[in-house]
Amino acid sequence: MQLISVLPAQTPARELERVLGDPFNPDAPISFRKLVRHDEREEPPSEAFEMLRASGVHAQLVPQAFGGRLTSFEELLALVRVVSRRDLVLTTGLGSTMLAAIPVWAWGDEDQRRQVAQMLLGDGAFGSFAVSERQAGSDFLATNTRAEAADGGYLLSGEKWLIGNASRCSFVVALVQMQPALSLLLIRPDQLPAGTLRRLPKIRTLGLRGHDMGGMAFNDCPLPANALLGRTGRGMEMALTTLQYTRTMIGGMALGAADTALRLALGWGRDRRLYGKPIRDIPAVQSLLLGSFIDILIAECVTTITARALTLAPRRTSLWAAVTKYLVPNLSERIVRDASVVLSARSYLREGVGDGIFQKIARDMAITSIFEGTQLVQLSMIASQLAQLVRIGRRDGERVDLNRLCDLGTPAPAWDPSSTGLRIADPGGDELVEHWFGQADSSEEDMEAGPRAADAVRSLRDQATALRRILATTPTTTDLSLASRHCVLHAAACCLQVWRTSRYVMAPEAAGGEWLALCLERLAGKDSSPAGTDLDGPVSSWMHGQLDRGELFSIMPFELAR
Amino acid sequence: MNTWTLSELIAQLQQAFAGFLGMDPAEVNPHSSIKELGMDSLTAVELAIDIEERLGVSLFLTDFTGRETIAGLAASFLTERVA
Repeated sequence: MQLISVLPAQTPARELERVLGDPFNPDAPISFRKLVRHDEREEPPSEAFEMLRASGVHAQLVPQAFGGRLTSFEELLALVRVVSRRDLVLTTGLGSTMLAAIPVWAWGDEDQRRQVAQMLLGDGAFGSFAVSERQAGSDFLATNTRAEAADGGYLLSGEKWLIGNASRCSFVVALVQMQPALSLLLIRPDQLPAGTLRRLPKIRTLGLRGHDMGGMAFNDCPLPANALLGRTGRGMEMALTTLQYTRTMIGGMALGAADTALRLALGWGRDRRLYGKPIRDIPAVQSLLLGSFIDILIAECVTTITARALTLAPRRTSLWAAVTKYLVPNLSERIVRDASVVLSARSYLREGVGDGIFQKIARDMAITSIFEGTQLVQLSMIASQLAQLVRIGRRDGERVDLNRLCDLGTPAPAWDPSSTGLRIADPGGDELVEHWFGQADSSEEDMEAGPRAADAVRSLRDQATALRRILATTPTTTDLSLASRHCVLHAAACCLQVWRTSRYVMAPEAAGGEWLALCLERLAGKDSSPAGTDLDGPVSSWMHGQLDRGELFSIMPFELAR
Repeated sequence: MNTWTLSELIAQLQQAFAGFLGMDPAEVNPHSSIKELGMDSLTAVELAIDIEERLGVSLFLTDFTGRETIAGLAASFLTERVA
């Protein structure tokens, strides 16, 4: 007998999914038809935001200790996927709010936490994390906005630009130059004297056209002493630590949007008939669709493990969040590209299939590899940490319990904001990669996933050995392809470890491990196998089954709204 | 609060830098620039946090230029504390 389990970490997401209704239905509370209409007008999907507010989504951004319902980031990730499969504009608005709230939860004082909790729980307010400036993109140190001590408080001047929620936010957390170094300030726009804060006009963008993207200019803006957030001079460290949480959630955003892209392509592949048969029977189309499904499973394993690590192994997430932020948008953009090949001309239309949502997803998805640190930023953070590991070895005696980390049947513990340390570089190495690909001569572990999976593991192990050799001789941070190769190994290790530890909660169709073999082969660069092999059949029918039954594309059964 | 003398503090920092650079403390020249010692900005920030946790000495390397020296950092820390 096979039990279909419902994971506790997914309960709030399942409930929200039901409330939001099927977005393909034009009459649903949040439908693709309405979302496309808002996008055309470059306006925020206000009634969708209102619906989320009414559903209590804002409470999911406030830790339980401060009156909300945020527990683990694994739970939040599931919610992010559910909302993002409808519209990334929604999760970008909520995500920018979360980005501003996290440092308040982690390092704010009691009063600051109370203020922000009240705004989120009471008003469903928006927040803004004001870091970037016109002249300082990824370079925090080039920050020009400056706060001087004055009258027992601060006087703030400067301009923040390319800021989410800039015109509608009720609170701002800003990175500013101060003595002795960059610091964070919590700003309440409603409490500022007139004329000291000017909100800049909306910035027009390729995608996310309904997002409130803008800026704010501070002009001798007086702030009270209690505007200081956390320790003075540790603003960059707090910002970098905060980003580890939100970069992981971006994995969920990309996954949600990728789900809809694949859903559209797969549905089209089933319904569109050419040359006397559905186009999904054409081998080239089959292979694109299956590849996208495999990419989703890989991205899901990676993102879920990092989300769990945020509370189970927080010292590791300086490395793993960067890996996730690099890898998952990359995979998701490939899914969108391949879906557009399947949809062909339909991918170019602003009407028709899915009420024209695909072209919006394609434009919106492009942000995932740009915001909160571009791909090059992630790779250089990874490269720097790898180089440090090679140079000095592991500095963290504590080992991560990989079985606990990857046991999806046991929910990750709730976040304890007060215990959040500043974490910039992983001192302990990538234990997932070490465990699976650490030793060139390690004996083959029996994964019960068949000979092709074992072959792929051998090939990945060879790649890991080669990478270690290069890193040992040239511990360089300039060749970013080495960091990218590490990401691939990390992803493979995530899939393997999830398979090992969580098979018992997976969908019944996952039990044979064919999906794992395909994930490993794809990551090992061996995806040239002809369509219709022994592995493709079961995985392909699993994918089609998820579409037909109305389930999220996932290793876990997750029913979508009908 | 620790009351380091300049030479004590330099010795402590040499040790901390050595740990991050995989070197012997004696090999860490306190008058070489941090960049010459082989440290990048991310590692420098992490090192500063580590030093603060272990020694109670707040170094701010966020305006890292790479030209800083251990001796210079130690001296400025002591000056700022007196001030």
